[in-house]
Amino acid sequence: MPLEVDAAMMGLVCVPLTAALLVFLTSTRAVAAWTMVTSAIQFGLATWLTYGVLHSGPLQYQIGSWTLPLGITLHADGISTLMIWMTSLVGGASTIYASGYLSALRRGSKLPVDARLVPAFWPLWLILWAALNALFLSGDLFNIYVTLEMVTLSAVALIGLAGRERALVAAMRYLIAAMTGSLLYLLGVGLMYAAYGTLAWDRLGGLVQADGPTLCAASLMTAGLLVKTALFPLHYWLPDAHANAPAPVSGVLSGLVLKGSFFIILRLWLYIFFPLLPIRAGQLLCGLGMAAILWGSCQAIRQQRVKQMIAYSTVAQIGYLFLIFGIWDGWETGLAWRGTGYFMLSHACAKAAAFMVAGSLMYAVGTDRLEDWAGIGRREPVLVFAFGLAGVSLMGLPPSGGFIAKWLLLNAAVAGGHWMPALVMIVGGLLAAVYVFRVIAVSFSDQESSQSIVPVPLALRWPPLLLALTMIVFGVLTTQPIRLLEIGTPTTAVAEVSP
Amino acid sequence: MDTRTFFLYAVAGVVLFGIGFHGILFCRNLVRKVLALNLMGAGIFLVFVALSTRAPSGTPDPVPQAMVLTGIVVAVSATALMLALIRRLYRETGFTELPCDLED
Amino acid sequence: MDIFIWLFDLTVCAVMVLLAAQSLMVKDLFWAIVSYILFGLSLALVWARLGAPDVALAEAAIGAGLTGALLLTTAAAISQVTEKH
Repeated sequence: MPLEVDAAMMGLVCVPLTAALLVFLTSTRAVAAWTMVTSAIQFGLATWLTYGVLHSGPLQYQIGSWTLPLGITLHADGISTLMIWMTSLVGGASTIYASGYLSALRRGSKLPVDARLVPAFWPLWLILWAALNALFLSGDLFNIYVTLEMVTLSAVALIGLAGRERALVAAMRYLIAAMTGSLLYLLGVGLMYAAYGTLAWDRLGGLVQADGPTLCAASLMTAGLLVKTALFPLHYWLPDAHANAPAPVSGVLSGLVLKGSFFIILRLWLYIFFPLLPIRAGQLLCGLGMAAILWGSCQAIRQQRVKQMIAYSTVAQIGYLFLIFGIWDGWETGLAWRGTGYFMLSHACAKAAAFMVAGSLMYAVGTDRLEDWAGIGRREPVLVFAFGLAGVSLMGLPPSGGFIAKWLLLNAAVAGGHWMPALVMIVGGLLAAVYVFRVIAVSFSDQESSQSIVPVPLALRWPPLLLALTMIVFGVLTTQPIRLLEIGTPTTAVAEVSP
Repeated sequence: MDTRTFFLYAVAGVVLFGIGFHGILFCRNLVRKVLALNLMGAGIFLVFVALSTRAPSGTPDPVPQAMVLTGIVVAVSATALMLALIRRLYRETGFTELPCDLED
Repeated sequence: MDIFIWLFDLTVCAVMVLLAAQSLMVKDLFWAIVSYILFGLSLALVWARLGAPDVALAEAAIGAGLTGALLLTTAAAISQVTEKH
């Protein structure tokens, strides 16, 4: 194992944590610049790790050479590397956007965010980033718990920064739901340790048996994580929390934080529990996913406020992720696996871009009520174009990452004869088209908005377009992400050992 | 120590978890919800240590203890954040409970 | 001897559960927090009994002490403003 890639793994966790401390201690002026340097380093490290994993397979690293059970193992396989690269991409674009957003706040704007809390933003932002990286790299279930809590606490604090009544209530509701969820997860972890004496997920996979305590632990952990991932009908906290956070935070919450807890569900089910669980359990999750798609899309269509609409769209898109448990076609074919991985990537970019556009237009117009956005498309064509591109990916039209993801998932569903999920996927795409086109139609309508329009600064205009264009690129260049997803899956691991 | 003792403490842990979970669902005051979350956490820690110290050798396993120590620190940070949010919510709005629904 | 230890275990568990229930049920928030702190201290006793003295120290200092202090100041801050209104 090349030493340098270990350094990348450590750096992905340590650099943002150190930067958070430094930023916390220094004055507020240079902080945005420092954070941008840090995010550039993060992007470099993530790309380096991706390169390393693509060339030499999954990597493990014992921090400080302390071995299990007391030491901490970092474990980078294909899916976690993809998640980390996605985090650095979305995080980097959001950092540029956030610096523009915060300086707009400091100058005074119509945004519903309390400007006094700006200095607290960057340290929390960097801690959230470090926690996400650590979560994706965690090699055992207890470290996953700790990093998950770090993610939740920093995310909640970032929502609360908006400081207005709605944001505070939403942050509180999110915090209570998320804490309950992580405690349920933790109880499951306790039962697993008592039963097997280890928490490393790669070892548990070969050890687990379908007995009472294991099934109990599996259901507790899954239930807790479902609350955190906001799968219908446990999504009640999500729309308010995501819609009332400051715009750069909303994008990261929908794009990355939810993926963190879903990533753990994937780890638990596919790498540890899947052979044991009754098929019914998978079908239940898939059914809830289908309900989420239909219900979330319909709610999104009904919303009058755009950020609320995008948040309900997230409820729907989370549903697609859970279809994998109903249409699973094994590791060998792997269509459902690749489709879900690709879906996480494309949804992260598209949703972050959509929230950023909403935030910028809110800055320009002063509200996110859809009727006040009438005619905005002629004033801010770049932003509305970026929203349209993000919408193409959310609907699943070619050429976009969302199309590739849905295509793979549809193939998996049809090949396995699962007609209901396939039908729901198509209907979900049509419903997404309704709410995306509603926004576009209003922005290009002939009426002029009654609100005065403030010109949007550059840092609020280009990052969403960058993310949306990246999504189009991933609709064309698909080989590398797909190859990455296949690294370190149980079949390839076996294949490497057997010859 | 015999298995009966550990079983007793594990059951106490589950009962505490249940009390806390009930509190999360049914207490309306936010500070009360913080207490409930902490009780849930304490119950889980008790289950952790009680279940994994059943080893016949009699020496307690250090791993769950290390985890519980970490867990206590995580719990206190979460508590601090929740209390800070409660105070700020109170300053802004005068609520000590979550409102059922906010109009625009 | 054994029977006394068993009695001790039973008593501590009962006290712990009662304090926990009381901290959620008693009307006055101040007494609820006091019950919680007492609960934390009895839990510290349990950690010592289960052979985890380091956890006992952390529980007494952080779980009961620090958390209790944070809870009490918050309760005070909340009720002070109520009286002003």
